[in-house]
Amino acid sequence: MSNSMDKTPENNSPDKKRRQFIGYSAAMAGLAIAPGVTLFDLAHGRAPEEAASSKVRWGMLIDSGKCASGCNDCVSACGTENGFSGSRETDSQWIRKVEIKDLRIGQSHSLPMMCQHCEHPPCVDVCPTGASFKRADGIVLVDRHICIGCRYCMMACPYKARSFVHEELHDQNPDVPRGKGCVESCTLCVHRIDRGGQPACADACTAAGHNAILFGDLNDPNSEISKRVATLATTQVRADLGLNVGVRYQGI
Amino acid sequence: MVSLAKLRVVLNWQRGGLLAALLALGAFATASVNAHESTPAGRVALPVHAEASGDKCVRDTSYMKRHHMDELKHHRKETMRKGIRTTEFSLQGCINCHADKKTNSVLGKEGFCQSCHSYAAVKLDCFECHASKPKAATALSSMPASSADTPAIMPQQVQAESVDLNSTGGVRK
Ligand code: SF4
Ligand code: SF4
Repeated sequence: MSNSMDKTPENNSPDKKRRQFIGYSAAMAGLAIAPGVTLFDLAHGRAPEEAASSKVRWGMLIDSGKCASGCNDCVSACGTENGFSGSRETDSQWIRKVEIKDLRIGQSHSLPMMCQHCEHPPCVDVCPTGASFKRADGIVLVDRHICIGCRYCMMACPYKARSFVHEELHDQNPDVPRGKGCVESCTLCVHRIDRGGQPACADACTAAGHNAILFGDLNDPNSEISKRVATLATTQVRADLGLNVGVRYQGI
Repeated sequence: MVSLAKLRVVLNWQRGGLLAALLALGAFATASVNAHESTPAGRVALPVHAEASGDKCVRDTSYMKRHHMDELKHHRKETMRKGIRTTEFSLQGCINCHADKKTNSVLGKEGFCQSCHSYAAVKLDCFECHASKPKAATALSSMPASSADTPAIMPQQVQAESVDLNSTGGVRK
């Protein structure tokens, strides 16, 4: 499968995959622009006509040690980017702050919780219509054209990541179509990723100087996130479920 | 051997066809009479086709009239499922060119999409979810959706500044 953890060395070595990917991207770049001019970061960007590839697996590493208790910047940024303010009771919630405390020693942690972009997503398993799906690069999405709003996926998600849109919406962000009657959840800001950017929450956290959210490609052994996952003690929330999530935590 | 029933069906069908042809002819005649007049009282308003802001559509008008829905549906699958974000048949591209100059929207009585869909009595539900206005130049992830000089490959965007850090986003009551 498309995860650095499960790779068998003989036919699927990360190095080989990485080399193929770079080769392919470089070829694309060569076709599109003058030699020597690269308009995008080879390891990250993708031409608009190029489909998302399973050579990449997007993920995030959240360092709860750096995540400030009481800070809500990632949550606000998500709302601004995706078009909900959280001011109405029925507003969607794609990301929320969670405070956890060990009562015996009094130690507490703060962390954002959102769709964990599972490799084996239960929401996709239960969806009767095929609206819930996982994109080749590991991003779990809802195809709202197909979603019938049955909300099975909300029940199935162990992370309470999904929301149902109860009311009519207006003035959506042109990049983030959303509407009444569908279930939705964190898209990992797929519209930004497809243009070579990173999720709004990660940007906001960096802008606030906390640097608690690291976004990157878990399949690329040279990415910062892979290096950290390989060397530090990181946690998958509810690892016992074997979902192999794309969002990892550090320090919990 | 042709049975009587079958013959009757065929005849009925032909009669139906004739009727349809006559009706169509009638409609055509009325339409051409009315084309440059205002809509007669009590009739469905004629569609408004205001000048689009681009030079040229991605295909000619007769093709777009018949096939825009198929092209949009095809493109939606490519974008949604595979992350292909070419601009040729993207809905955002249509909106950018065809938004009304006054209302900045493709909806409304004189809106490009809505006026024609009301005339044709075809339900238009794209805009229950999709924005009906072009992306503002200073929108969050600013990128011209369909301009001729857009490079094939997008440079990395700097997006952090425009995020409103003080909004009340996501605070649960
Ligand atoms: S966290 Fe929930 S919504 Fe996200 S992929 Fe896993 S089951 Fe689906
Ligand atoms: S609410 Fe939509 S995405 Fe969720 S299971 Fe039902 S059809 Fe699938």
